[in-house]
Amino acid sequence: MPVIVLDLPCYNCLTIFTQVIRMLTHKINRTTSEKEKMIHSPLADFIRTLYPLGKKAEQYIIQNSFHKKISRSKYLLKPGEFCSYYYYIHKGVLRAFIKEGKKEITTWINPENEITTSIRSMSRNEPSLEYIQALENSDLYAMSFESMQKMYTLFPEMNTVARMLLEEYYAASEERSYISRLPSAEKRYSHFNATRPELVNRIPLKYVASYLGMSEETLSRLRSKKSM
Amino acid sequence: MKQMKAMSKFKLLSSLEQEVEKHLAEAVSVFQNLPEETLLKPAPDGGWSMAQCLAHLNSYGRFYLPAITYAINHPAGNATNEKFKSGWLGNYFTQMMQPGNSTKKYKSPKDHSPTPDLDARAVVAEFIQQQEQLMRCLRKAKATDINATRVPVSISKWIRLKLGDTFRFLIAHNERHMLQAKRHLILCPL
Repeated sequence: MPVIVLDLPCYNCLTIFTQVIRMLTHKINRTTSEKEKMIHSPLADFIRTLYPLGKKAEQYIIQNSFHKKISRSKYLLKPGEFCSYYYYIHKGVLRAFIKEGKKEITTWINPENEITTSIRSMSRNEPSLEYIQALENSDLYAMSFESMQKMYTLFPEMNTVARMLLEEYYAASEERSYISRLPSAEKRYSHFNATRPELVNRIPLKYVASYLGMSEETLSRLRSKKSM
Repeated sequence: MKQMKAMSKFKLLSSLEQEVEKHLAEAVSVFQNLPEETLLKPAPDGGWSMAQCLAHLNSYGRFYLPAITYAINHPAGNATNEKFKSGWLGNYFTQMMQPGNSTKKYKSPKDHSPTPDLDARAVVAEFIQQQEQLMRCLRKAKATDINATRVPVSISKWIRLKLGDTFRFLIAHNERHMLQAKRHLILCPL
């Protein structure tokens, strides 16, 4: 019996001690994980795949960008609104469309590892004509035009990155104008199928049809023809 | 039968949203890319084809989605009520549909039994469209009292289930026939 009596406070001490240790380590763990979050930016990672990025430039990106989640079918932008951010799509798919009466005309579809914005808002300071909508639950990283402008002055190498991106997106825009000028639905579909076949596993076909300027029926007719 | 306790409305709605998200993803990545012959092929046991499974679900969606939308636009109770407790009938219907609880076959009412000669692509497209709409309803329901707002059932306008139960029942029913369709898929040589 006396042993137990003696033992009890010791046992309590030990529990308190372990709890204190646990609390401390928990706090340390938490702060390191928060720091880790801070030192990592998917946007910076993306830029690094294009061009070497200095430590300071990376820091700048981390401090001047933020994470934005957008759930399926929600709008990032509507016509008449000004877009003052560049969005890097880390995960998910976005599309842009314009409304012609009741009809929706999809103007582009972008999956992850792309940067998107309303170019009119940026370069001409005019409101957007398009809707930008998420087709999957998506993770975006946003940076304002202002911060981006400052970055060009602070880190001249960013001008190279911007030029590379511009070239890339100009080519993509040319691709879209090419696809929309192809005279037959069949040609538009086979071009799409040759260049972006993975999209049909990710987005409802009605968006593919509206991107290719054809009815859903025509698209499904072309697809079954292809599979035969 | 398992009686349901009161639960958080937001928890319920977001778990249902995940379920619908899963159905949408399956429809987009699998069903919309299958050849028409595969979609229309009767099951080896003579049961419904995949297109028939989805058409059956669409026939319910055509009734319930407008009914749910109407209910959300004409809500009852208090929108700030964050609790939901399943009604006995709603719970019974949902349990009936759970694939795990029973593999019992139910005979579908005639107007929900699709014929085999379907436009398979159109059926899949409608299913996707309906799931997108259902997702929007689930989101709107976050600002609705899903305990007090009620929706009539398809067999009688006099029987009305709680909005929360209507969602549970409808989505459990979707799951049941999605599983049926996926069982065929495994058996179908592509």
